[in-house]
Amino acid sequence: MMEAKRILLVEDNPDDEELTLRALRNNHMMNPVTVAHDGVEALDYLFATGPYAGLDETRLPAVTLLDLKLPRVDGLEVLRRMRADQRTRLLPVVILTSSREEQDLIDGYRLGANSYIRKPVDFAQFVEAVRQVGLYWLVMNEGPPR
Amino acid sequence: MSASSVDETFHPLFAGNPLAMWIYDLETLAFLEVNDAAVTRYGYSREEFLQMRLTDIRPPEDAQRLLEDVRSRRPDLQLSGQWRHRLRDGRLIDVEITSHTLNFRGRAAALVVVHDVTDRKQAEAALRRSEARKAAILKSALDCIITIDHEGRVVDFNPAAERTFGYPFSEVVGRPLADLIIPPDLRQAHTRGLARYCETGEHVVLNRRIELRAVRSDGSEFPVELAITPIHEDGKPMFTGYLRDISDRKRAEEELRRLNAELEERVRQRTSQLEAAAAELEAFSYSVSHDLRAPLRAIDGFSLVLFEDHSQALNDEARTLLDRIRAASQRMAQLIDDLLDLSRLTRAEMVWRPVDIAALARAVATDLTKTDPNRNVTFRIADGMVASGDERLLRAALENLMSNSWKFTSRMAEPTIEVGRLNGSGVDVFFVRDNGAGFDMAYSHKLFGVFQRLHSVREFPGTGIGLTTVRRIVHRHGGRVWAEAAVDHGATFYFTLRPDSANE
Repeated sequence: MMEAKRILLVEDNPDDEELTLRALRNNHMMNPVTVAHDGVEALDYLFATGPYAGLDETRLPAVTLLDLKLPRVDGLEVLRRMRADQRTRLLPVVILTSSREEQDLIDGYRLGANSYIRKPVDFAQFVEAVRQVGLYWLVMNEGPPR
Repeated sequence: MSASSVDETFHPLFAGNPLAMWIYDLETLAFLEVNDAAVTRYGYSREEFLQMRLTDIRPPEDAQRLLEDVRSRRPDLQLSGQWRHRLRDGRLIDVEITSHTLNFRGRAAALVVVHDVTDRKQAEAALRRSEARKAAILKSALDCIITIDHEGRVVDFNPAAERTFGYPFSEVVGRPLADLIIPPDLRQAHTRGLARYCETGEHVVLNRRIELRAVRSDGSEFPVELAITPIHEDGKPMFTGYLRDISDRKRAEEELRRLNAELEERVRQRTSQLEAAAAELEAFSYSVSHDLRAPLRAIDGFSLVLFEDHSQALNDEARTLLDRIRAASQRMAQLIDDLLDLSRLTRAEMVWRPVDIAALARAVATDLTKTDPNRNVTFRIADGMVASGDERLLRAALENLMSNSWKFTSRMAEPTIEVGRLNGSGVDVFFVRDNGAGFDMAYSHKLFGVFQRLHSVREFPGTGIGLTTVRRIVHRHGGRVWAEAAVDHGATFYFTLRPDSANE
């Protein structure tokens, strides 16, 4: 059996983390999820450095759900470094954020985000948004060749 | 010598003389002979002359003087001075008369030679008038007028110059200008420039307006505006300078410069304060957008989790309360979003261009219809409404006004929304009119305040930011917005997009 596609969730807010995981569960998505709580942790995971040193290629996520406002290194910087590195350059990144500042949208797309979703306050809508993201990026979308 | 030989010898001198000449009878004053020059100059034929007397060619008022002159005992040759003669056509000419008594054909007579001095007299009069005019100008001119000769010595020094520099004319005439009114550090340049012009004709300061310093008799220096014109007369040039004390103007200019600099500095400070405030607002908006929503999401999300995962443990009242918690958090999210929209509209840079208001209104109407296709609302949108403004902002204004109308007509049997323009002179007035719930004009002053609502949420949902947004957009265009309404008789919102000329 093919290895399940991994999700990297970059989220510092524990409530949002819990709600996102719940939304995935509610949608019966059983894919493995790695949670990084800030930008540094996300970069360590993606580039197998720090606590993640020694992990192999299979750790790389099929999709990264990236919050923008993060402690230490923020989401846009994570995105910039991913796009600058050969190993992560083509990985799909979905910005999942509270912000709907136009500048964030512009910067996100300019830095190579594949999609930009603003988290709705209504949890039912949020569950629906996560379902569609999962369906699209984990099921329908053909990822870049490894 | 016989008389005839005298005639033969001298007659040509008389007849062909270019000066007008005649001979008259000293007793009767009758003309006895005239020459061709007299005939030409005076316009009488010889025959006419010989019919006339001397008094006939004088103006009547001169007759007395003539008679006295003639009767006075006279030497053989006399210069009898200046007279006025009348020509045949009535014109008077000025003449100098030389006469010589002689015996002509047996009669005591006088030979008269006429020097016509009319032109000279006219030229002299013109010169006198011109001199008088020049003196008057020099005397009464507000500007200093100073003339120097080619060696730089003062020739003219008018009263204004006397007042300005503190020297009387008598003290400066004939003295070198350089020693009088030119500051020591400029004297050399003055002397050199004068010499160079006299030698080569080259100049830098002539015939144009220049600003320099000058010095008074008490040694004080002051700024002057100056123009110098060379006058060429008999080879050696003279120079006339027109000077004006510009101390006051310089002070005013200096003051103006200082005030401008101060103003610029103040503007710069204000701008940087404003920029700081704008940056702060930006940071605040960002944080509102991001941080205030996250807890709301948790409240809503966990309420729903409680509802779904623990519904057995909850009774009906608990479930209703959870519903209300969720509704409240979503409403707060809506408030935050509306506030953010408002702040964004305020901050966004405006792009001015012609905007098709009618097309915008039709697009908004289409969008509204899609939100509830079951409603049957009649839109009446006037054609050809164009205004200059920011399209995005104007669309937001129309969206707010028209969605209000859409909302407040929801209970009407035949809802109608009209978008149009008032016909009239002056600034264009646009309006959005509906036949909906309207409002009591007594509260119209509250209409445009943030979070102000004239209807309960139960009646009509809303956050109370829409009209604040409209007003802000209209104000950013320099226009104004106002409303007319009556309860249950609809509302009309009017707006302009540039200042009313009438109110300015």
